[in-house]
Amino acid sequence: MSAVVPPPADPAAAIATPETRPGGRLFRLRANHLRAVLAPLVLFVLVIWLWQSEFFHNLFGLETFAVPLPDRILEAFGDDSRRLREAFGETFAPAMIGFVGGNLLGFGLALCLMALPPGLGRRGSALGAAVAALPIMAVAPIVALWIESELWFKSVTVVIIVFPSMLVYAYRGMTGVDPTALELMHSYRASQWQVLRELRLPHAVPQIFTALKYTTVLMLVAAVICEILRAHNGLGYEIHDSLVSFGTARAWAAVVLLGLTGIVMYVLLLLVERFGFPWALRQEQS
Amino acid sequence: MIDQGYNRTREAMITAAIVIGVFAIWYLAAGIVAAGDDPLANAKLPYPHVIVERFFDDFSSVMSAAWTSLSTALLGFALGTAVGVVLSVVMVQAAWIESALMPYLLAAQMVPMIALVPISQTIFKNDTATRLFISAFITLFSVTVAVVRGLKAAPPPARELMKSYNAGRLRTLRYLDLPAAMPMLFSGLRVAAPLSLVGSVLVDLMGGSQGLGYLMLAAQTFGPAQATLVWVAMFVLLALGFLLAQAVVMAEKILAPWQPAMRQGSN
Repeated sequence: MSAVVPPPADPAAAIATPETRPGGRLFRLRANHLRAVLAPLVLFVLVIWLWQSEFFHNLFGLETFAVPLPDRILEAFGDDSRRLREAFGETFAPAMIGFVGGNLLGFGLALCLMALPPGLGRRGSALGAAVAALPIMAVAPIVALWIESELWFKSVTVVIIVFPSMLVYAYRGMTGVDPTALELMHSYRASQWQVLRELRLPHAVPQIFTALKYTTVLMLVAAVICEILRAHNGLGYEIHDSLVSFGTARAWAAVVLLGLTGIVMYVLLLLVERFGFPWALRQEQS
Repeated sequence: MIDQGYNRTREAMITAAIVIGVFAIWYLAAGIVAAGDDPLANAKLPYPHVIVERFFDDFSSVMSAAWTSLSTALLGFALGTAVGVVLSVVMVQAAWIESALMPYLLAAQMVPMIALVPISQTIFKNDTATRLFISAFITLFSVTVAVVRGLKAAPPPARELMKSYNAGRLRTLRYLDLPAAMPMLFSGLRVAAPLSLVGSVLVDLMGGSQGLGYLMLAAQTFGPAQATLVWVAMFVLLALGFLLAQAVVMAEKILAPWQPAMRQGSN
């Protein structure tokens, strides 16, 4: 496989391109924004319309009871709103307990590793990475053997899935500080605590957010897998149960609800990062 | 040089000590669990050697289950990668296609895809097809997002150079953009590989009649005597996930060996 070796970046070449003329750039930016909003919207409307007019059903030979039409799914939201709300609570509560608990545990353990000598800390973090590689599929059945309660079975599984990522990322963030900054802190006779608070923690913020964003998806995945595996409530069970009892529209509504939850959680975290720690974002980009 | 060798021995010894320590704690904990009068003791935390024994006792059934999970996951993985690469090449050709699809591809990564398993089972009514579909579907998203980013990663001067050679789209793609996208492709594959395996196993759990997930479920439903099998299945799954990840790293070393990070041998 051959590759063109890129020549070293030449700033002058970049300036010479027509896009960087001031007027042209402004216009381009507006056109980009418009397109970024319009294009996905048009696609969305088109897909929903084709779906509703049974175009896909005819194309792939699907039955409407296997793949319900969009208006039926919307109706299911209205008709079964109480049931879906209950199921949502049963999934969301343990997922959140696990998310908060797991991330706190992971962060606490990362702090403990920081207190150890670097050699041990590094291996501790490697052990964390090994635990992070545990597939949820493998963890859930074993937790199921240990814990009877539905709520705690889900919560504990989520904790086990969530904490290693936070541990690894937080540790990496706190140890990855610039050595010269560390030396500067030492020359100021800064205590360990001060180094942690003033240098290591701020430096770890982008990594911590990476872990938080990553684990929002994991918490829902873990909770749903638990429900499919054993639990008798929650959205995961609702999907399964609805399909068995020919309520496909309700199953799809449950899936949509799960997807929206994931997206909303992610966007919330993004907003917290953007407005709570704007300096961390700049640091990440630079 | 001597100092380096000494350091390496020391490192290896410390790692070995940690591994031994983990096993010691495991035996101790298993002993404590076994000492209690819990009828499920040997299921909740069996001794490591019991798991190994069990693995060899049921070697053929475990292996055939592992093969069912792995082969479909691999096939789906390959399918998802192929579709993902083609899709991302199409996406970078026109800005409006990219901006139409990108938000959905990104959103898909925030959605628990496994919730689709039961739904796709009712659509396909076939375990193998469902396994394939889920593995491919999960892989598709992470690969496409990564490759689209990679296809735009080539530095502008290199693009200028291609233009000055009067290279068309196809040639630019072949000689500049695809090679430049390789690192991103592989980072997408690294994320997707274990997920496609999980997707495949989940189908077994949800009423499949083969595979590692089925083994886990069978072990759970057929009482404590079978429960060690859950642990065996877990370790096999872990090993498969690890092997798959290593395979991706190996493939990257063979197919894209020009990356600086590899030349330095840091990864």
